Amino acid sequence: MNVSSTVLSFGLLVSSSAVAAPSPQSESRAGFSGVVRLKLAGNSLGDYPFFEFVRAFNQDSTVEVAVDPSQYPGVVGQTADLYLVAHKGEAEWAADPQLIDVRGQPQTVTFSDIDITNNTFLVDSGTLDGFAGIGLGVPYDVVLDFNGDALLDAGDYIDGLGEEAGVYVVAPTQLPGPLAVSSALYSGGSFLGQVAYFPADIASMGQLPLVVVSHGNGHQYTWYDHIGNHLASYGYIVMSHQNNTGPGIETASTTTLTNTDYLIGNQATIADGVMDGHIDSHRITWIGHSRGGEGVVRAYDRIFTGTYQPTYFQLEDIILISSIAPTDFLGPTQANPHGINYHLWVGAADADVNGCASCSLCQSYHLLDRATGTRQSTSIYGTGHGSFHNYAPAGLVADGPCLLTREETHQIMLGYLLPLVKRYVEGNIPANDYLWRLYERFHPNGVPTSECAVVNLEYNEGSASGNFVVDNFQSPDSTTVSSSGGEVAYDVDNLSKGLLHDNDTVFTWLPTDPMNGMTEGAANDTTRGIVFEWDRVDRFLAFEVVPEHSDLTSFQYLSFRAAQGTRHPLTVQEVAGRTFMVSLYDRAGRGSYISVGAYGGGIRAPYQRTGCGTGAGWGNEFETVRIRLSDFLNNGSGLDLSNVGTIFFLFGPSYGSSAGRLGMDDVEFTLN
Amino acid sequence: MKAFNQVCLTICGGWLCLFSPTSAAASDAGNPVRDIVFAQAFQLDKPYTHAWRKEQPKVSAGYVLVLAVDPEFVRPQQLAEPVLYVGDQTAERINAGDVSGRLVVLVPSSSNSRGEVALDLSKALIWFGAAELPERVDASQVNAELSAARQKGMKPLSEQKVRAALQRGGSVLHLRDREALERKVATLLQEYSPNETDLIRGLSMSGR
Repeated sequence: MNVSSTVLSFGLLVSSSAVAAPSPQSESRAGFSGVVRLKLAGNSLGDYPFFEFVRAFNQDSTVEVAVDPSQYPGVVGQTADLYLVAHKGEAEWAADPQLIDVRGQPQTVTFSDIDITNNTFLVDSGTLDGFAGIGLGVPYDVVLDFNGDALLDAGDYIDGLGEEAGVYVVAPTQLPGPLAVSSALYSGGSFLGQVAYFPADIASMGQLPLVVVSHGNGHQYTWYDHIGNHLASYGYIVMSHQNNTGPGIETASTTTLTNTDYLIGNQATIADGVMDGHIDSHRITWIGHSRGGEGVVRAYDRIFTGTYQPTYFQLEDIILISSIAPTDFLGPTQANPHGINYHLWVGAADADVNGCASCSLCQSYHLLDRATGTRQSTSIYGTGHGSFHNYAPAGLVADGPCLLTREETHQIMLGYLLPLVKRYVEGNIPANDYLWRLYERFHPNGVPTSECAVVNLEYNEGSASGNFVVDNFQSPDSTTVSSSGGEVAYDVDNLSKGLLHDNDTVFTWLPTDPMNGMTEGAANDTTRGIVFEWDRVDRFLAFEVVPEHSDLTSFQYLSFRAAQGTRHPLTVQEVAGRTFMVSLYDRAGRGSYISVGAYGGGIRAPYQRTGCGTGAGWGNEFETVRIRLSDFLNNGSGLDLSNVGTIFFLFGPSYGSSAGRLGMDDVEFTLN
Repeated sequence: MKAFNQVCLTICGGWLCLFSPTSAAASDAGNPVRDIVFAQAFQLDKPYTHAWRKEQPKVSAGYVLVLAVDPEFVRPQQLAEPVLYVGDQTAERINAGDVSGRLVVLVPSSSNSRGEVALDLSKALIWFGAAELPERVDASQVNAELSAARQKGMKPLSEQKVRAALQRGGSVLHLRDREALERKVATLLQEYSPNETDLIRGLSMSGR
């Protein structure tokens, strides 16, 4: 972290100096006067910020608690009883402030003035049970009882006061839930053949969310029982239907619509009425595979644009769409998720919807970047097109090295599908962690972790989230002005701004195609970003935080997405993750630096698949990096989050990988 | 799947060319349609919509065919596939056929003045045209494909083959509706492409 002073073009002096730490903020709500609410639970990190505060913890994983004495100097020299208690809401705390540690007794901790590492305490070594029934995550609160009265009262610190708990311990999400599952195979007529999966004891249950699965071309509706059984065991009704994919996407979309209507409208008679009254038609998830993956998006678009009117549900009833390796026949105007919560699965070894630069309609990421709501993707290296269904005779339809087995893919798929659905359908809080925390540090416990199991996650909350987008690179064309109107300064090499679209038909690196490997947009899409490189010399890229948005105290994370540039000489010279520093500077010139490597392996190398031109490396795989803003304050950085002036990205030997080429997009501060 | 890509490369010269207007099979020698093994005319009381062409005509008569095909060529994919034409009509492919080499298809037809299925299979070309989504193929595209096939010397299957297929098919099927036709198709699949068990099961349940 040897950062020398640099004067930016927009007049900010960059240097590392420290100022007095902020004091803790006290809760002043009725009943909790003097109780300090803060994040306490998390995991140690090997590098600065030395601790990550998180919400979800896998069962069998350690839980730690830390307090940064520079941010909370009031703890220095103090001893407290550290409680891990069953989570309670505000009303429950008010009614009963008694502290009862779930471990049997609290532990005594004493805080020093040294740093956060010396104020980190192991709370649990992995003994906490994450079994939450059909839910996801067992909630706990963490309390530091400074006055030792075994009550939550003035002067105590709590992580978890309110709706959100401080800790959620989560059982392996790829394992079946507690409910026995039944299924029914039936037909309502031509292309109304369906198989439904539901809890065997559905008669005793209320209304359950509906998940509809629309298969791909040449696939069958009976090939998705891994999805059906998994979600039904957690309390969902899953219906997979005959999908008329042969004629094309429009026809497939019609089948999704008519089958959804058929089930809801005929539940009284289907399978002897076993699901009658139990289908929550206001909480519908559509999942589609390949042509069916585009079909479900088109189906949504048809309702959105008013060209199709379902009988038994409406647009607002569709909560989530998840496309598995979708095609893009229809393009921006029709294969458009609009503002729905949208999720994309990509298999980097897909030998059908392969993503090659020569094949626009097989670039699944187009659909993701068209989504304007919360959007996320789960990309799995070594996974083929056929790996997503469960019909082994059809093969994996995979091409590339380090192939995952169907079972391995399904472990990852189910492990992520459950949190995805829980997050959007039920508003589950810990599920959110699975959607963005870097796979190499956090993933469902028990999913494959071999060298070949590489998963990249993108996560973006969309334009309506209230986040402050510093630069999404959509406009202006200038490389020195951000989309938020701030100045952009840089000395990285060969920075280019433009459509995230490979402009030729191969992934072979050519200087004339700076967006080589980008498949986020088709030629007629609008998604834009930047690419740049550095080569054994320290370089920077800086974004001014415009003065009217310089107060970041209401935001939680700095977020951006980045990808390595496939087959570029600076990528090829070392097939490995790329790390670099991210720095925030306030307008007084105080900065704090965090390496993206602190949270994982950096920006992962492209999947080393050949074809689509010469060389090895498939499309540029973006992954989202989110850094908690308070992490920048650790150990007395002195950064003033209420007056931030600059975001620095620092590359080169002093900051991480000595050389590399990256694409970058969506630099923003997020509220959640 | 790699083998399939290689086939594509051989036939088309690359992924992009899947959208080229040239027919995938221009002559009998290279025609992935190798034979007609079964043909039966059908007539329905209740018409269904033919989704495999842009005009989406209502269908109350036609043929159900079983074609012997190159199994590699018909292996399902998500990208645009070569469209199967029979005469001046697009055919509806019911099954994959990539294992059995048998493709069961429905070919809509008008009826003649005597109320019989008008399509004359002994005069109709049967071929795979350019890759496209069938729902996008309209009459002008069909005509262009037909002209191109004729120009390249495509010939109808021999009268002998067609006659034998019709003999296997037997008399005209008079059925109530599409669902009944699908159940009939399921029995054909059971005979000609029995590995496609999930499809067979689904079709045999159609409307029940």
